[in-house]
Amino acid sequence: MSDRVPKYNSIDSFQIDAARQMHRLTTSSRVPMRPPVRRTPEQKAKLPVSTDSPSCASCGTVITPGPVATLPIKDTPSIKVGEFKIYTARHPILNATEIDEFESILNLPVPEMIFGNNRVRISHPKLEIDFCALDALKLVESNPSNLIQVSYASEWVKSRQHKHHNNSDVVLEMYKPFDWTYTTPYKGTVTGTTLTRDDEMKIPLEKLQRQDPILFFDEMVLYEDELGDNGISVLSIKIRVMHSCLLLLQRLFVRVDNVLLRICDTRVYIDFEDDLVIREFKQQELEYDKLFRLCTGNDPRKMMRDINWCSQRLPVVKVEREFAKLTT
Amino acid sequence: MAGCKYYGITEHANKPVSIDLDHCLEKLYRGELLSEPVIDQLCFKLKELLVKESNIVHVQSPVTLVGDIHGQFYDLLEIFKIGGYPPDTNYLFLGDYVDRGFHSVETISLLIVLKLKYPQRVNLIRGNHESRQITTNYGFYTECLTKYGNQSQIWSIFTDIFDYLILAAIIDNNLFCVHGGLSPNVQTIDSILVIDRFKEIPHDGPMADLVWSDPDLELLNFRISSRGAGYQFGINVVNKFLQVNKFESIYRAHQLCQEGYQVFWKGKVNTVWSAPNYCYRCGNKASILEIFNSYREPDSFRFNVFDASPESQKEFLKVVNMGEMDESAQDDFLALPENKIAKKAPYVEYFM
Repeated sequence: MSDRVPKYNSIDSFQIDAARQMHRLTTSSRVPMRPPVRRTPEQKAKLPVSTDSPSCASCGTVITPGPVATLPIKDTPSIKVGEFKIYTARHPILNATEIDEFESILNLPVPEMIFGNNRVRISHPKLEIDFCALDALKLVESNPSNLIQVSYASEWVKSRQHKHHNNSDVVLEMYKPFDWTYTTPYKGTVTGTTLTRDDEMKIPLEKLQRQDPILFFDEMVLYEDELGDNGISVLSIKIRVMHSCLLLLQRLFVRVDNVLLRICDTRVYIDFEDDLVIREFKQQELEYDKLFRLCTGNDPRKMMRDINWCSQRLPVVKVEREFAKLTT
Repeated sequence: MAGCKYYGITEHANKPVSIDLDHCLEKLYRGELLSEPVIDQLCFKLKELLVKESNIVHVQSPVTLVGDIHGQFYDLLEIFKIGGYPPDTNYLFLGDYVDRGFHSVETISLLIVLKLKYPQRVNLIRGNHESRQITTNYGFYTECLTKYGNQSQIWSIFTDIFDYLILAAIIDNNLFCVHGGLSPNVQTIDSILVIDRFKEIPHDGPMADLVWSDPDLELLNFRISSRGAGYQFGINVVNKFLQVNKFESIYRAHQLCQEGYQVFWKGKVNTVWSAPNYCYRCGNKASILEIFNSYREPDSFRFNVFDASPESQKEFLKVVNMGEMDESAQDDFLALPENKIAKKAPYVEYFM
C-alpha cells in the first residue's frame, strides 16, 4: 500500500539545486527581452547583504539563483548580512516513521501536528542559534509537580473509578503523567559563545519600530496540539531581517479552556552593526475566567483565540534577558 | 440550550416553502450559501429523516469512507472529483465536518442536502466537532456569525441537526465504522444501540468515548490520557470487540496523519483522514477509503490518497487577505530567493 505514496524528499538537495538552475536558465532564455529589474537603492546598507550568490553590479539581480544548501534535509532560501547567515526550512508534518523516532527519543507522545523538520538557524562564526521542535520538546516536563488537568477532569476520573470498580473486563492503565500542554522553557539551541545573563539588556524597541525595509521574512510552526479539543498549544516562530538588525520571535501559546492561558515569548534581537545578540524570555499567565471577563461582543471566545489580543492582556510573570557581544 | 433558541424561529419550518433540492445542490457545488430560511427548512426535513435512523446504520459495499473534512470545502469537492459524485458513489462520512477550515457552513450545507437527496447513498456519522461546546471554541460559531450576521440563528439550526446524526455504521455486517474509537462502556453493538443519542455530546460515557478515543499501538487495554479525560485503547480491547461482535476490522477518523491514512495492528484498526494540508499549513496528504467488497482481499479496498486542491490554497489566501498568491507556498521548485524577499516582504507585519 505504501509504495503508492510518493516519498517525500526523495531527491537529493544538490539535484534540486541543479534542476532549479537549469530551469531558471531555460525559462530566462525563452524570454527574449527581459527588462532589467529596478531595485530601490539601498541607502543604509553598510553591511553586505547577500543570498550567497553574486549580484549584478548594475541592476542588483542575483546571477546564480542557487539558494544555499542549509541543513541536510533540503536547501531553502536564506540570507546573509555581514557575518550572520540566516537559514529557514519549512516542511510538512512528520510521517509515522519519523514520529516513532521522535517518541523513542522523547519518551512522550508528540503533539498532533509536529513539524519536526522545520528549522530556523542563525549562524555566525562565533555563535549559532538553532530552533527546532525536537529540542523544544526535550524540555517538556515528564513528571510535572503541578499537572494541569482539563476543567472536567476530576469529575471524569471519579465517574470512571466508580463505574469500573467491579468490572474486571475493563483494565485501566494510567499514562505516566507528562505536561500535556507541551509547555517548554525552550529558548533555542545555542552553540559557541555563551550568553551572559543581564536583565537590564533591553531590546531597543525604537529601532524595531522604524519601518525599515524587511529583507527577509519567514514564519513557521514547530508544533501544535489541540489538547484533545480542550484548547490549544502552539509553538511558532517569526523572523524578520532588516539591514541593521534582525528580530526573531518564538512564541508558545497555551490555552486550556476554562483553566488557563499562558504565553512564553523568546525574542532574539541581533544588531548587525554592533555584533550584539540579545535574547529575552518572557512568560505571561492568567486564569481563563479572569481573561474571559475582559471579552466583549456576542462571540467572546473568538477573542480568546486571538493570540495578540491575549498577549496584550496577560500579566507578565517572568522576564529573563541575556546578551553576547561578538566582536572579532 | 438545545431546543429553545431554535423553536423561537420555527415559523420557517411551519410555512410549507417548497424547496428544490437540485437547485440547492447547484448553488452549493458553486460554493454559494443558502439562505437561512432554506437551511432551516432543510434541517427540519433532515431531522424527520434522521430521527427514524438507528444509532448504527447498516450499509452495503461498495462504499467510500471519508474522514475529517473540517470545513475544507474545496477539498471536499476534490473528493467528489476523485471518488465520484453522489449518487454514483455511495458515501459514508466519518464526522468532523466543521471547525478550523474557512468553509464549514458550505461543507455542512452541502452534506445536509446530499443526505436529503440521496438518503440511502449518503450517511453522516457524528464526530466530536459536531457539538455546541466545541464549535464555539474552534471556529464554526464565528463563521456562522460572519456569514449570516450577528442576529442569525443559523448556528443553533446547524448544531440542533448534529444531535440527530448517527453514531456508527456497519458495512456488510463485517466492518465497524465510527469517528473516534472504542469505549470501556461499549463491549457489544447492543450497548451502542441503547444510547439516547439525541443530545449534546456529553463529557463522559459511551457516546463521548465513541467520538473521542484513539488507538495506541503500545497499549493492551484502555488508558486514561494525561489530560485527565478521554481514553486510548489497545490491541486486547480491539481483539475482544472484533471477536464478540464478529467483525473483521474497525475504520475511524479523528487523528491527523501525514500519509492521509494509518493502519494499526495489520488492519484491525484503520484511520482515514480526508483534510489535505490540514489547517492550510500541515502539508499532509489525505485519503478516502474505497471499499469494493468486504472479503478483505488485497483488491477489495484501497486508500485513495490525494493532495490539497489548488482552489483550497487560493481560498485560504483570499481569506487571510494576502491578495496575491505566494508562489513559494505553491511550488517549492520555482521558489527563488528574490520571490521570497521581494514578494513576501510587503505583506509581512512588523511584529515586535
